Amino acid sequence: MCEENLVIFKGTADGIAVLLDNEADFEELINCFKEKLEYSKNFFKGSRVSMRFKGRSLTKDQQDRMLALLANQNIINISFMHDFEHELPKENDNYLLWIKDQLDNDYASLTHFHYGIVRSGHHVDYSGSVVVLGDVNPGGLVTAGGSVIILGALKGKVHAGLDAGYKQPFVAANVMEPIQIGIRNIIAQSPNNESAYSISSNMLQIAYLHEDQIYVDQIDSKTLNHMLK
Amino acid sequence: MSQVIVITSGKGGVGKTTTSANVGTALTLLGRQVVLVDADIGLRNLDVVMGLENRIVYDLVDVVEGRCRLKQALIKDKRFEGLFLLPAAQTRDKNAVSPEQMKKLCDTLREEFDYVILDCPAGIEQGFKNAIAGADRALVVTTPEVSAVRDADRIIGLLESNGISNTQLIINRVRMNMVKRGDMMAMDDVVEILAIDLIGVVPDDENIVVSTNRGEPAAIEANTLAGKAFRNIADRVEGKEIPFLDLTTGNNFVGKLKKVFGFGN
Repeated sequence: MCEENLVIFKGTADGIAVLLDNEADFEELINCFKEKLEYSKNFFKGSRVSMRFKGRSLTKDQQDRMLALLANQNIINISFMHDFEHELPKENDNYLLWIKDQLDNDYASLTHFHYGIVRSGHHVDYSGSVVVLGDVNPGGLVTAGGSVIILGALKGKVHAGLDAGYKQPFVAANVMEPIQIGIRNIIAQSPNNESAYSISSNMLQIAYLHEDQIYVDQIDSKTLNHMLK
Repeated sequence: MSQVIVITSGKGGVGKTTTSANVGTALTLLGRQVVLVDADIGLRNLDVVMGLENRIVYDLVDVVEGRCRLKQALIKDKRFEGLFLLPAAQTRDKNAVSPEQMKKLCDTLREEFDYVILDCPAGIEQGFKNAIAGADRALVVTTPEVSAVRDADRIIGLLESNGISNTQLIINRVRMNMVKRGDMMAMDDVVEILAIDLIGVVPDDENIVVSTNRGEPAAIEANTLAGKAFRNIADRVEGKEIPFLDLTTGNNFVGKLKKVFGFGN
């Protein structure tokens, strides 16, 4: 068995990241990689994954040898191979922390799909964006780091854009009648005058932030221009 | 195939006990073997509504704790063939039984009866958890009020997360004249929010108050509107397709006259 942590297989959102030690001898490294592949045979058997190498700059020759190794095995079906990356982890940085960091930076772009009605007392929370296939009923709550899309009626509470790194958070719903709506640190209520907000149309409506005000409107080019300004 | 049905609502006072008594009675009238189980331990009512209070010797907690046999605690309703009541204990509280014990009890009752009907207490605490533990189907009772609908929504969510997806809705105490004036939520609005199948609409009927106080289920009277509504629910529980009652005319003489002469809209 090769030395611990020379090569680490890590599952990521889009496949497998292979972390290579930056110090060790390449011969040792490639043997270790081969060994690890063999070792995790049962785990990967029959699955199709994308693979990404990280943590070490490889010369063209070294890259070719790694690829040849992958091509001549039948343990993992590689469906997609990312380019070799030359990012180096910072010194004294733990690999796990480094991976977590990579994920966190990109977290708001991940999306959680909720299938069904968000009923009273139910809280759907996700650090990325949320899509709800169903209504959000009065008493239900959806909070998201990114944006929220409701393919149904919004009659409960929604708070979007809780992740400050997410650009242009918005809330979209087929029927926009929230008890309360929040984007970033702004919280608004629906106007009391019913006719003011129940624009009777079947068009998707969108709530967005513009100069610290929450606007609700139909999605058309005029609204989008205003929103993305 | 016998069914364990829990009658629940979340909010108190919307008519769970009345519905349990009447749907149970109506199912008996269809020739089924039915047992009504009062899961509202400490606040028992079902026996009073059924007029069987004076015949209680043993109760549900006695059965669960092994102080008597199940048969000893079951009260046979002599008015109807095949209707039994398992009363709740009055001197204990909801923590006297556990969900596992209730599940076991329901499974035992299931062998003897076509329908086991559980009258669930209000709230979402221990009593609710006990009542739904053994159920494979739920009837959610609500009134056309915003607060009752809100609680029903919460209950439906909790039922779903406990694996009970066979859930139907009963809208109780509907006052058609108020709906028409726009002072009460319309049926469609309630169904739209809760998004589950409607199995019955029961009108607000003075006869219910009278029959409840007398200890005679309203479902006996086939000629009252409420009695008819409960019988229809029983038919639909059995899987029959019955059109919903026309509640637009009251069950009074003038209303009928109006209908006959075409004044009822």
